[in-house]
Amino acid sequence: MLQIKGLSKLYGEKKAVDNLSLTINSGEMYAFIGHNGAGKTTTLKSICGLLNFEMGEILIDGVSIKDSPIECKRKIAYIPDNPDLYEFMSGIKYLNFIADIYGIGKKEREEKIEKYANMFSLTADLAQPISAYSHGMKQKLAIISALIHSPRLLLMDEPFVGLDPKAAYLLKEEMKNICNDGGAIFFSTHVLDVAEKICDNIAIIKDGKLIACGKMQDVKGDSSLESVFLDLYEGKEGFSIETPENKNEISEADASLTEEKEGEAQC
Amino acid sequence: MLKTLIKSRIDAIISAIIFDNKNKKRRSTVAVILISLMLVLLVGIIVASLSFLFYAITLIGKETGDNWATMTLASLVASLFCVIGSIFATKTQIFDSKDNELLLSMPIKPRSIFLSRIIVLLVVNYLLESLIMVPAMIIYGVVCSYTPLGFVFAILSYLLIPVFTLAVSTIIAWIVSFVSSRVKNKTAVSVVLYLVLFLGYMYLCFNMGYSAGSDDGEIDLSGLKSTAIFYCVGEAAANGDWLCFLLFALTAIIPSVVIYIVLDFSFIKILTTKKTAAKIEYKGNNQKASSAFGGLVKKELSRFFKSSAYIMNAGMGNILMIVIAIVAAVSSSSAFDLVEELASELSLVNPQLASFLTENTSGIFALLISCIALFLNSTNIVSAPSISLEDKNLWILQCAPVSARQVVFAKIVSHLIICTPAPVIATLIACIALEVTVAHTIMCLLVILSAVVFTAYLGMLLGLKFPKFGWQNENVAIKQGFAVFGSMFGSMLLGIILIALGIFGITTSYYVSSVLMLTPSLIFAIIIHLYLYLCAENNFEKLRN
Repeated sequence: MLQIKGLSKLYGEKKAVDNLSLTINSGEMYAFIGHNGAGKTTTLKSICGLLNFEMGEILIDGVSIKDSPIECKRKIAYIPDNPDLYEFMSGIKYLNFIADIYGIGKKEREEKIEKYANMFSLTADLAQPISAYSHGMKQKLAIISALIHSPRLLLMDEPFVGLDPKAAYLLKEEMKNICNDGGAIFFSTHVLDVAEKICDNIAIIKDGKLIACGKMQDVKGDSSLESVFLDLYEGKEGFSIETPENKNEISEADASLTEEKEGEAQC
Repeated sequence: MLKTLIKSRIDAIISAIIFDNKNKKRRSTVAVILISLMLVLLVGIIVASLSFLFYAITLIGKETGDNWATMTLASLVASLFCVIGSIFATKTQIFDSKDNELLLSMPIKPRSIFLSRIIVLLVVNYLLESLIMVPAMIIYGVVCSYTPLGFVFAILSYLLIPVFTLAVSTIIAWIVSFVSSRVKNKTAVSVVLYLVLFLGYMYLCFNMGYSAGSDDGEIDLSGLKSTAIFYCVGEAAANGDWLCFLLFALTAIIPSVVIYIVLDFSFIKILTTKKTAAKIEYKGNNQKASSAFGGLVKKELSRFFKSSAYIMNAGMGNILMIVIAIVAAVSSSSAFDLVEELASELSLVNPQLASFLTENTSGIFALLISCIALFLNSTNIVSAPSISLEDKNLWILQCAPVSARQVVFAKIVSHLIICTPAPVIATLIACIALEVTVAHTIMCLLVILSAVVFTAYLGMLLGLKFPKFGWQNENVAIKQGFAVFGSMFGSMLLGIILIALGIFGITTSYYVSSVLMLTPSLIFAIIIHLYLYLCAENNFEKLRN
């Protein structure tokens, strides 16, 4: 579904993302964790075509985002960490705008708007201007707008921030449904408990470099994700990273638990 | 504390010039110098044109004994300029400022917050006023010379005008803010309120109306006397009339002090009172589907019609066109009388020109309508700020499966949808009222429509090349930046060239005149269309961070 090959993104002299490689298959839910400024948002924005990148390749269903951006964008949906929506529109107008952009027919959009607006308890406020929405309501609207065109790949940056417990639960259920239907999800979060509970896979980024990725169980083993994350960030020994040079040497189980080393980090 | 708050406000203004929000870095020295030069040029044009006007008025006033006319007109224009220039800034900076809540949560006296806003706005008003009053005062001093008391009164009037106009702006902004926060259709109510209050202010300025002409054809400045308190400024400055000055000073100071005291005491209440806007009910799920392009156009239209600032600053020409057309329709008989009078006077001096005037009345009226519409069209700059307005929302379009070309042309189409009906309706009203022939009406419409198309394309091109990002309130995107000024002055410049071509062509016929007028607009529009068609993707790509 998603293939990132050697992605590098520079902001002036600073490398925000450094030679990052990652593959996410259909049905997989990937959590993306790292400290503030590690490169999570830059990576997510690069995937959905919001940022140009200097090196590497991003393929969505085998199609390059650089070569065929519109074809790729039809398959993805992105929810930013702070959804700045069109405040001059009402919620329903915004959803209709998104439905127009993705070419969703009248009947289908009516069904989906009804379904998701009811699900996230936003129906009564759909006629209100977005400028009158709280942060949580804006987040719900952004989520609904992402779901109404049934994306194959859902990219989310801190999706649970601002959501009430019920909405957070419903979002998690919906994320599972998308994966069960053959879609894929890649989202960043600082809430490690959530990542641990709902994701099969995890990628950890530090200073723009992927320092660990793979199956959740393989990465964290018997420890909690929190302790593994902190250990990786403090650079404790005992972890290895899969590189082209040592690819054959690392056993399948070890390969999932990686530590930053020289060369290309990939997963 | 007050000093710190004022400094933070001024820093924000300066950083808008020094920092490039598009690239999120400090502008180069060359860029800062270029921006400064642009500002100097803009100020120079305004000062030069007004100086010319004041010089002419001063000479006439000196000759007719109406010495007061210069300062009366200058104070009137300055007052209108200040109110127009600060009315939206007053609302956004005092009542709707985004940092109000943050500042109120800090150990800062509400009075300090209020005063910091007022002082910065006052400084801006003084700057705006200086563009008008300083040249007028210098010209008057050079041509007529002041009495010592007159000079003192002129200086004091200069100091008092912004205090008074800011009080007017503040009270208008407060009324608009208060009413619009309690109604469903905020935009329509805001636009109507702004217009009514502003026209009400103008009415008060002019007391019971203003006419600068007289029946005998002589230039007569006595009409300016009806400008009430501004006449007092003129009289005080010209003749050192202390009674007039006292009248002006009391009229300016008393209401201003009352307004400032009331607002100062109620500032925290205004900001913290929960606004009880009526909730709009969602009436069921019956949606309408459009194409992606249709959706983009609808979005642009929604942005325009939901923002009173956007309507008033980028679409004012539409409203003025209709108003002027109605005025033309009501007073069409005066226009015919004027032509007749002019022709009879010219028949003695230049019989050829007189007969041309009477034989080509339709063409001349068509040319006049074209010229007025061309001038007003240059104030309709809907497409120019449209990219800047995307700013934090740009991610939505960049993530969406639409091409940059679709986005750009949807903005141009929206400009055309917004800015075409008013000129067409106004032209038809004026042409019918002034008995312009059908053929001339059609040509007149073509001239105006070609100018509308040109302005739409020019605005889009400049908006794409020079977006103004990083704004805190949308007024900055709508009113400031090279795209907005460039679009307005570009359209105005082309309008002047077209008017010159039109006047040149009318000596043959209005058909020649109109063809000369519409051709350059269309050629430029086609060139920009081709450029945008080919390069929209690249330019849009550059907007990415």
